[in-house]
Amino acid sequence: MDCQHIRNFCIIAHIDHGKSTLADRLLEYTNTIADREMKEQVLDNMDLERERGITIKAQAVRINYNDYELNLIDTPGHVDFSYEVSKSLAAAEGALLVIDAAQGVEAQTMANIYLALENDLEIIPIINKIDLDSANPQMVKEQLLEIGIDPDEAILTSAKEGTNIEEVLNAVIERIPAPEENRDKPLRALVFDSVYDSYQGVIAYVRVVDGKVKVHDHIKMMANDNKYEVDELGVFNPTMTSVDNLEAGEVGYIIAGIKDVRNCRVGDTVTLSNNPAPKPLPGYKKVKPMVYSGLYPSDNNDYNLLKDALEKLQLNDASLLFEPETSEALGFGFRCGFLGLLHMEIVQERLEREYDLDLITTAPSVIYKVETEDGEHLEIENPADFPEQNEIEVIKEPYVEATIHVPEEYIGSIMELCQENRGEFIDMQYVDQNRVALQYKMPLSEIITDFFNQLKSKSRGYATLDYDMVGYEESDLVKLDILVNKEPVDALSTIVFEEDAHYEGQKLVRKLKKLIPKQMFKVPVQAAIDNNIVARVNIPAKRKDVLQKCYGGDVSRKRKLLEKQKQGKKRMKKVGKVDIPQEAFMAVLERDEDE
Amino acid sequence: MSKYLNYDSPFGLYIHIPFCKSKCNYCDFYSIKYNDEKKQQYIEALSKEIELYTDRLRNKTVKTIYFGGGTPSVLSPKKVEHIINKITSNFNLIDDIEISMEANPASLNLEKIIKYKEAGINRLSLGVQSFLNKELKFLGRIHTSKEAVKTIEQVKKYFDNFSLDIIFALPGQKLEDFKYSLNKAINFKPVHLSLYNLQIEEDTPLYNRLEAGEIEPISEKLDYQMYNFAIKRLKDIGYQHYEISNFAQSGYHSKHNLLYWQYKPYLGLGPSAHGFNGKKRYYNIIDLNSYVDVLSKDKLPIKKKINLSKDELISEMMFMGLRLIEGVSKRDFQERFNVSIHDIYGEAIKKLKKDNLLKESDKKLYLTKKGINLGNISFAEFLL
Repeated sequence: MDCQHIRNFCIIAHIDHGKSTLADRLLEYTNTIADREMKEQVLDNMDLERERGITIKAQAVRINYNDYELNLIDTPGHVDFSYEVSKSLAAAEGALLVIDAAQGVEAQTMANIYLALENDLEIIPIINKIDLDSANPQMVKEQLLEIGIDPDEAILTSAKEGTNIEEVLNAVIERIPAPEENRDKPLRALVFDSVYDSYQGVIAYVRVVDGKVKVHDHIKMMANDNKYEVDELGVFNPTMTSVDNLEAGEVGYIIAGIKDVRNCRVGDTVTLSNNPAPKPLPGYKKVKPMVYSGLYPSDNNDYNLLKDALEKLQLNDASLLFEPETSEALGFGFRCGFLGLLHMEIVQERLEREYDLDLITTAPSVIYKVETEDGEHLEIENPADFPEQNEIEVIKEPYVEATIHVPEEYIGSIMELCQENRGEFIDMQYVDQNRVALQYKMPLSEIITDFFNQLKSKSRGYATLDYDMVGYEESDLVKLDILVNKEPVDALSTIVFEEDAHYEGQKLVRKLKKLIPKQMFKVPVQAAIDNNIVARVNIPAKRKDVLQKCYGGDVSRKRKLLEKQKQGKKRMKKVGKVDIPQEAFMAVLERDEDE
Repeated sequence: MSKYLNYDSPFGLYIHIPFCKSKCNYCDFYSIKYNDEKKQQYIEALSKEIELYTDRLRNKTVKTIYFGGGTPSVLSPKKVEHIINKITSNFNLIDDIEISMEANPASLNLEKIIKYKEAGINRLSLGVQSFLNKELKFLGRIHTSKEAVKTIEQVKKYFDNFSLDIIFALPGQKLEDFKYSLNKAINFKPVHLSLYNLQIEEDTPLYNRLEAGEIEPISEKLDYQMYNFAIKRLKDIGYQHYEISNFAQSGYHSKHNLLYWQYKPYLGLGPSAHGFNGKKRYYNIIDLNSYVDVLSKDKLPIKKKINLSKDELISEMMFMGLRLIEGVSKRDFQERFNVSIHDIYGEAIKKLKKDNLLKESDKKLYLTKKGINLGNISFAEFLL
């Protein structure tokens, strides 16, 4: 296909505004997928994506429509995955910006617009869900005007009912520029995603920017000069369909016997080994895990299964890092690095679901830099590894510069939230009439607790958060230890701001009292700083737990109840004599006490 | 490997009567509203079910008959007599057979009481549940405290063997409220008492109220206090605490329920009834119409059969048997499974003894007071 007949576009939206449904309709309308194959959210492959109604990995699909080849790239909608979004945007020339006609412009809408503008994309605003009773397209148009988008260009749709889908397709063709015709140049193809298939190895999702590639061509990854022979080229429409070649402007996949995703990094440029391009395409920033936490099997015998599962998962998710660690309380496990909290949750859920593992996850932590009295410089990912307080000379923690966009009516409560989380005010500017950008310097450790959730709840979902690392700074921090039944539980240790330490300790033991079920004996739960107890609660002994009802001869029902009881116990970790459930290890996360 | 392969020891007969005038707020057993036509269909189907078992049970002996429900007392004495006659003419019955019937105080009157006795019923179990009207209303019972008192007095004249059911640990119930009902029950000198703490089961009105946050379960502490108060009080006045929820005067233990706890066989008849032949379990079709329909084609209305493994039989014998306060006989276990109880449960026994939940005598293993109160924790250790 000549470039004039190709359009590459993605769909960006705030979570839940109907991105995946619109994608479904486009595929249906153009017969890319037959009605009978249609299941909701075709592009969301993982069960988890469909269930949570979110997109985690980018997906690409080719649509043939009126002699045009339209390549649609779906994008995730959560801040943790803005990295994934930017990958998709770099492969496209235009974006459909989907806005819910009832909800209007929301937090992620803004973040996505900025990303699209940075990537120089043509934006087509779509006001979706006009079938809703509460739909108010006029309000949305006014909001568009405020954020600098021409409201007259907006298309009104109901993806659910399939209204105005043709108009969307025509706009893609008319308004989004065709890719540049660079077919005579040496091959340069941008890897914007990759997945691992156990039969075929790595499948690289590429956007060809210059030149072309054919089956049996010898290719080279420009990041490490590794060479491979192309086994298969293809496009997604929406299932994988092989083609003979891919040319500049096109989107598709390359299979070339690459056995390890680490040799096919997202952001890398593919070229030909006998006619290499002089320079790679501008790649992406390398992702660095921001959040670390321990993952342990509930049953120590499952250690090797967990190791296997993490290795397999990493093949599809290069942003996941892990290395073995040992906890006195939890046994053998792994310290894992994640992009953010949602990423962590999703990895955990995939391990439990796809690999049938029962896991204990410890509370997330950042990397602390500690200088000891002996002059040692330590990098500590796990609070349990902190040296004794009297051996510590200096503790440094990572700081970020956080930018928060928020409607002005929420400024007060958001500023308060930032201050509570040790934020230092830097600047505030009006972005438009009603919207401000707040800048704060904050410890990253504060952001990875439930700051994001609170930000959302205090701004009714409107605030957007973005942050950049600004380096390490000295902080007055102490390790807060937790003792359960008089025994320290290393996996419950956290690093807290010294000033708040007593208060945090009291809060935490109260929370643990709610989360740790009654045992057959009284269990004291204590918080300690530097071996001094600063807070204590008692969990009273369990006194009565017996089924008294007579189910006639229905023994199976009694058995089921007992089995459930036994199963529930299996999902807990025995620390000393006490059974501690998974949630207890995450207790430090939640800031608010829900009384 | 198991002694009782196919109703080889005298077995119980459970008959499920799936009718109620109105369903109680906590009940999740199968029952429906009735009319004369449905009752008639049911009686005919049940008779057919009895006939279909006749040949299979030719050389076996029925030890107890138990009419449960639902509300068995919505059946007229004549219909009950018909069922008993049908059983008598098709099965071998032991001489001093126990024939129990559950009854709702509101569905009895003097005439019915006399006629049930004439029909062969020799034990009545009355679902009194409480003597406080506000609690009866909360539970959705259709009788009042006054009606219950009147009925009990009438029953007492004709049945020396009767039992009262009391439910405790209701949301909002005070210790004093429970003591009131318990003392009121004791005053009638029943030879048998069953005390159940309220279980809020899914898909019941109480469960929905719980989910909606309208009611809150009683504290574990209060539940413990009520239960242990009752145990002490009843023992003091001469009742034997013989099973977790059951108390009796000497010689008046429920023979039928003992079969369950001793893990002996029982045949279940009627929709949704459960049976156990000593090796296999089964349960009947739940819906009355389907039950009637299948029997009209001369087929047994069994919905599912479960062939139990040796491990399952062993663990069930343990968690049923330990419900009895006297415990499980080590010799019975050995004879039944040809293996010593310690070979199978050495670890569990050691652990439970250490936690002071279980004790051992020459002949038996039995739960301690703590073990009884934490029965579920104790039983779970015996799952294989």
